[in-house]
Amino acid sequence: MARFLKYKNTKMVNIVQISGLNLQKLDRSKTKTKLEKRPPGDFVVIPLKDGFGSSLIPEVEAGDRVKIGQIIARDDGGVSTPVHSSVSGTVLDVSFMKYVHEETLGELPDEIIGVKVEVDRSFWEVEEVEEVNWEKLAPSEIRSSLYRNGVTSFGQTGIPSGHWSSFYDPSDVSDIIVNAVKSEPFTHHRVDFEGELEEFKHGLEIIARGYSEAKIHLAVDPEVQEALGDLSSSQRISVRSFQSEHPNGIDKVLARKILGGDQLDDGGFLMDYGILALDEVVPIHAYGAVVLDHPVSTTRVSLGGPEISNVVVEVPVGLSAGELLDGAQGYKEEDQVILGGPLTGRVMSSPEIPLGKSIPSLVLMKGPERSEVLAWLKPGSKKESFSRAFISSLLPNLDRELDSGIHGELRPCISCGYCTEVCPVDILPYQIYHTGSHDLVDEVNRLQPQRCVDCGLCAYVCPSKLPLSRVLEDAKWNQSPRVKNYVVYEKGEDKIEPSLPEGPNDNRGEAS
Amino acid sequence: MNWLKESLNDLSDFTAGRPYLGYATEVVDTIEAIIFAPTERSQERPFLRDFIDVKRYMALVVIGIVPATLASIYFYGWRALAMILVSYVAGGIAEVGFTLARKEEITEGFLVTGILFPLILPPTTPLWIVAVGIIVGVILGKEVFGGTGYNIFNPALVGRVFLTVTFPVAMSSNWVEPLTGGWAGLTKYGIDTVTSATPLGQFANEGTLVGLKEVFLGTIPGSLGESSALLLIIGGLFLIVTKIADWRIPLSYLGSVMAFSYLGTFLWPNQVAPPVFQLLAGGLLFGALFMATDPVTAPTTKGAKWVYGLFLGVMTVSIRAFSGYPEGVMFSILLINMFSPLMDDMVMTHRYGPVQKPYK
Repeated sequence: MARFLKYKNTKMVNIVQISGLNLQKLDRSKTKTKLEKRPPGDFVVIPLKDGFGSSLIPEVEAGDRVKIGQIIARDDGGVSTPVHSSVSGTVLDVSFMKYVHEETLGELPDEIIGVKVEVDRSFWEVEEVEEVNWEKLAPSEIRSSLYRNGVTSFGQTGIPSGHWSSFYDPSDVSDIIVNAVKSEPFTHHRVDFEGELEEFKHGLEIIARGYSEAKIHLAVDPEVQEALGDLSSSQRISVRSFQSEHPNGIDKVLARKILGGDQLDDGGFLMDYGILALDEVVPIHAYGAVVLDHPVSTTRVSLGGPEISNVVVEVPVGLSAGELLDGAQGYKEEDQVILGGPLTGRVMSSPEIPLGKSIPSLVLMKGPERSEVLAWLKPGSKKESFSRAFISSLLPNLDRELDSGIHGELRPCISCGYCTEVCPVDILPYQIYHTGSHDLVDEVNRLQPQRCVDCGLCAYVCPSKLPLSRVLEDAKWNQSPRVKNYVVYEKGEDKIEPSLPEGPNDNRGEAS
Repeated sequence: MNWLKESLNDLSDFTAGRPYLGYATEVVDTIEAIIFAPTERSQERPFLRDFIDVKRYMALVVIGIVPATLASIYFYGWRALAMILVSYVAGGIAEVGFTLARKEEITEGFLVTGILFPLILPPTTPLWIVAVGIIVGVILGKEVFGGTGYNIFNPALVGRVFLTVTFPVAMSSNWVEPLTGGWAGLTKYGIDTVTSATPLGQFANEGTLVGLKEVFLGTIPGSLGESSALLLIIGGLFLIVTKIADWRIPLSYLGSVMAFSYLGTFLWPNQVAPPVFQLLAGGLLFGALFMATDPVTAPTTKGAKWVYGLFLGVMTVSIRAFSGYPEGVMFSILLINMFSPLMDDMVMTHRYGPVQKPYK
């Protein structure tokens, strides 16, 4: 296994495998989500960056005519995936834009170039292509087809899409995890596992062929497993079933559970350990790319929330989030729009943010409607809590109050220990908060915050309402100045530069 | 209720920033926060938050102690309630005054201290001594360390120790027999002092054991809230079931007391009382279920909780058997509180290794 980065003298800790919190049960509208297609509006803004890939220089200018599927930016030398036009039409503008960075779905400064394309509906054509017999393709041909057609990892955390084509050699990939587990409420499967089962299975086989030295792990939740049936056509694909308990849907948690816990304790990205995590939609896109030679021009976004009907919408890449929401049933202006899930996502600052390949879901949360009188004395039959402090724990079948309210005031930590109980990777968030708030960097680093998987459960359960997600994020990034602790492991004759992968990590390190 | 909220808001706006009235703003805001739940939305992840807050957390501890409080009124008359009210008022003034001087928010931790403190006092304690004790407990036990969440020692026990040392007679020899039968204390204000000894005192001085049934039901002399083992267990189980108190600490503490007193009865039969008697008599159940489980002063990591209970048990049995005091729960909890951070740190060292200093 390629393992380039390692902490010196860090004590390895065996992870305690605990079950997560079943928050999916809060989502009562568990109807089968439909896959809808949404045509583009008047124009789209295509971001020229994907995942951890570098920001690309466009190959088109304002005024150019582009066709759907045409490559508009490409840099074969760098860590990136080609970007295709998702519509046919005229390029209106090429300028810097606001976008989110995928690892944490946080916002990046205006340093991403976006290409604004006006949609020309008369220019709308779909070419019929011959199906390619992928079984006759060599692994390298499959990989090049995936790269050429812009199939990225579509994943939520840590997997730079560019790594499909990047300085990591395919032989460095020892395990590929296809993540089809949904554990956060109001996020939904973006693959219709009944209607698209054949494509999905073929896509998995294609990935397995393209990365012939890697083991493929398909992680599924009970819902998918039911639809999937038997999938033991290839020995290299192993199916692992997980409960839909948060944080099972997080790539790093799956990697720990599938491949064993203690080997991921150094933090960093999964790819540093030779693990590639792919979203569930990747096999579908891989099938389209390799068999039909279709460039990826659409992305699927699941839309959910306590008040709205659940849908999964297939939209052209670059459609703005606002346009998607305009058509959503039950969406109100005052709702908070969250990119990603309610526990791990970020709030959408502007409806102009285009939907790139790595925004899996939008969740709409309303605020608390009114100020309840003496709420802390009431039995609370509709209040979900990790503790059993409300009578709701005796009434599991009652609907819950669901809003994005904090439900309390910020207080000093009372060391109740709830955060340590729910932590899936066995770190002590409250201690990191205590030591971190006194700038005891060595103490914080001793507590190994780099193992945090950003599940958000510690902040979810905190009675003192401390922003523990942010605390842990800060603790992780504050380690960047201590990169001197990293040593380089030489692998064969290839020497790898002792640096962290490029991307937001470096930006954050300099800032802190 | 909108009119109330609006008038509180107006009052808060009116007082804010004005000379002398500025301090009232915080008080008004606190009152508003107690009555009306906040409607703030989470502006960062997670956007879904648990409904529990510190207010609820502390309120549940108070609910857990309610059975024992009612029993204390039944056993010792309405004076028990007067002691609790004095404690809340005097301690509340100290707490609010201190927080305002520090320009911080008033926190809910005092809700618990204010009721736990009078319940560990003898029923005949003069009301002014109650007031002195809670003020000292709140200030020296909690506020000087930075308020709720930062204290090292249990504030109620700090106040109790202060009184024990300052008023030894009032604190250790004025025990009364509880009233039983019929309406008992419910028709009386207080009890005319009939000095008698607590079961632990009787064992230490005369070597006689009180029947287990009396100890279990609480018809024995003792501090206000500690006498009825039955009601304390009910309240403690409530806290454990609601996940407010961690089950590890009481289990390890009580188990440790049982084990060491069992061993002790072989080695020093005259000094160490038998295990079940030790378990039910005195303040052990009260201490184990309501004092030792205080999350702020107890360790937080699981391993440290077991060790904490173990040491508490050793200390309690030792003090009860070999010191001049018949009861050792208070001293042992205070002493072992001091080691809580160390115990947590040892667990962390075991788990993560020592702190690495880059520059030596």
